[in-house]
Amino acid sequence: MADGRASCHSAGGTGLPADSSRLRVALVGTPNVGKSALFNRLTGRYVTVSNYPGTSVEISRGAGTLGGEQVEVIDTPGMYSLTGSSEEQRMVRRFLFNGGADVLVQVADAKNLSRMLSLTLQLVELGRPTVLAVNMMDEAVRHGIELDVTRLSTQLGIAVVPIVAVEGSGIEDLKRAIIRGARERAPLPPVYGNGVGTAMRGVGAQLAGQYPIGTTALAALLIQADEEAIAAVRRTEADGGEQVLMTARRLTETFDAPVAYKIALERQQAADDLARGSVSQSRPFGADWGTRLGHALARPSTGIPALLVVLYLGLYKFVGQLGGGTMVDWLERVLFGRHINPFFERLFLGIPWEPVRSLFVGEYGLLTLGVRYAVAVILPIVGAFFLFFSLLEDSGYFPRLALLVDRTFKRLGLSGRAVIPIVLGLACDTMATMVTRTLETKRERVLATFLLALAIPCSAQLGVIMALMAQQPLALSVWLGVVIATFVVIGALGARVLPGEGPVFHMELPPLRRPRLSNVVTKTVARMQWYFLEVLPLFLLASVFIWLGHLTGVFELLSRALGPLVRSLGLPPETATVFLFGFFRRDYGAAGLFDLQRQGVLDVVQVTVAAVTLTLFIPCVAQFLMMLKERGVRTAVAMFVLITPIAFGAGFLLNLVLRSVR
Amino acid sequence: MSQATARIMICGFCAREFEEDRAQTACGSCLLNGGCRWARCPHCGYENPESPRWMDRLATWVDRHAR
Amino acid sequence: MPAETLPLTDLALGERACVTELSGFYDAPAAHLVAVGVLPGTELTLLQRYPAFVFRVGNTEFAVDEGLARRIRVGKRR
Repeated sequence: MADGRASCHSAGGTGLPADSSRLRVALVGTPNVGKSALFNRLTGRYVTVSNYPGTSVEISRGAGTLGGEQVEVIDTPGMYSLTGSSEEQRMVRRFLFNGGADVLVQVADAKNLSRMLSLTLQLVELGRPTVLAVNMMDEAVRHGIELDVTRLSTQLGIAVVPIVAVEGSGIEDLKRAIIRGARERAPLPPVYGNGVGTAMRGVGAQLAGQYPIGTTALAALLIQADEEAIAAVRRTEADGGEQVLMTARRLTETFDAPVAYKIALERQQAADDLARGSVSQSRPFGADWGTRLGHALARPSTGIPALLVVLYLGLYKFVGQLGGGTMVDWLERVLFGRHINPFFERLFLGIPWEPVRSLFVGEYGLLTLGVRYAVAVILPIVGAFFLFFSLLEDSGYFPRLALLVDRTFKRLGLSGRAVIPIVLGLACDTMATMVTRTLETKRERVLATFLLALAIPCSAQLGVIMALMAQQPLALSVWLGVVIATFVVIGALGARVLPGEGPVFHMELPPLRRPRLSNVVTKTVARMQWYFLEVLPLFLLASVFIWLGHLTGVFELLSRALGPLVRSLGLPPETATVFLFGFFRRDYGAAGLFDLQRQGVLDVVQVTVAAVTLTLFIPCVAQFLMMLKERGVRTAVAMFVLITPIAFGAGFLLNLVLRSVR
Repeated sequence: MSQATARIMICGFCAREFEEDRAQTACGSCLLNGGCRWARCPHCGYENPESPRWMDRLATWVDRHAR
Repeated sequence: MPAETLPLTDLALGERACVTELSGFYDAPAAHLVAVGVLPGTELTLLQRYPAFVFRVGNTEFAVDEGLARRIRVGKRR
């Protein structure tokens, strides 16, 4: 506690503002320590968010009541150190310089206290009333971490309060400590060893003026040639600060390493000493199941077999067999075959005009084919996939997956992070194209978009292809081999051709966690809702155009024009229609291909060639529109122009090879 | 500008927390600007699906009637 | 102050060291490391080298690729 340490350093005194207007409490802390949660706890429902004057940095202000007193709570941007050149750091420095807060509350993560204490020391240097709120105490206890609050508090000279912000425990203690802190004297600055401490004290002793921050902090900033600090000294000192600024400059030059680094190192050493004295860990970190399993999943020797098991169980067994097999089968045969479609047929029986009737019902009708396809084929496959995806997401597996594939993906010009949109592409390439925003550089986003459009079949395509080749495992493996080879070869080629720097991979690995059912369900439903609201309407719209095209004969002309191209792949001319319409309306393309196979028009080679070409070609009009939106017209059109010859070229070559082999 | 206290989301990729409102400053240049049902994590850029509003309302309704 | 510094890539598995420098400080990946608290003065332990470098700072784990790992210079503590 600060009592008993009263002394006469310049920035001391109580923190209560002279005009006794509302007490201003500023929350300071590193990112991701629960600062927002504490802010919500201390303030009411309504907060104001505004830019700090002259910057684009946002700060939130809210009103709260502490011990019957009305206070203003200010949330500052998260940061690890007050020194630094980011806009946020400069803003917080200026905010503190201008006496923007009466009490500083640092929010710290109890699990990583030694990393947080360096900032605590910086705040204590400021010489303003400070309270350290040690958050997430419950998690720390689970990790076997014990904290000697009294000892840490005595050593720092400030109140230390353990809290759990999300649950609200410890908040009342914290409120009392804030009010008490405001009335008490500010803490004494910490003493650093080495040359740094001496230098800071030497400069500090020469400061005669009154400053809103402590002389220690000011001295440290002066030695680091901080502009804001120099300006304040010029304004405040009697001689314009000439003397003290010269001392600071001379000291800066005497250090061999960058002085900011020297000071940071000293502070960290002091922080480590503090942590060693008051934090103890009864069992080493890494002993709990989440950490150990996390390590196993990130190592190739155990991680790759685990990945294969996950893919087999998740994609093959759950999505493929349960979703795409059992559920699709039941919905198609029983629900639609026996009940819904006959109902639609009866409904439109009375309409005399045949073209209108064929738009809605009949073999390719909007209701009988379009709706059936959406609900009976897409819904179970996409739904099962999104459930599987959300489960992995919520367990914290994705960062490990990204790490595991990083080296392989680098050859394709992508960082390991790109594995997320690529995997998502197996559900819906349109959604995955949107999710490429996750990638850091434009080059990576372009490469990932291109590979998604070229070589990643979406679940709608997969469903059709599996059904077409279910009885021909050899054809299926040829298809798989060609698609993977195209992915790798074209990806590596693209990475060479596209200019720009290669990707960099870096990320924090959060501990593995047990997925929460409510999270998984919410995210699955959210993704499905997105799919049905954004993608399906486009198909329905396209269906109307196809119908119009049929009526006017425009589409007949187009598919006749495509005829020679299709014939060069060794396919019957009827497949031209399937290719053309499949792009605009998924269900139509799939059903068309089925019909051709059922009629015996296609042999095994032709089915394989058609499947490869359809997979490599841009899956659908929705994805092309998303490419236009995300990558711009020029890039998207260029991709279309590139992908078309690759897809048909691969089909052409495959046909030649397979025919000669036979 | 006054507004209700923002909901706190946990990013599905980096597991860090962020306020749902703050996510939208990350995609200010987008045409849809917040109307796209995705919340971009300001720490790692991952696109998190926002929970649909009808599900929130359903959850509150269930909560109220379960008591 | 450690006597000699070496890149993170030269550290043995399980070895502890103290970050002394992030060369190429101002580009986005390095700035990200600084933003999450990998600063000069912090102590780290190397956990994994392949396919990416994994290290622990405090109770948090980070993964970086080889290129970035080479830019993190560390010194073994006395």
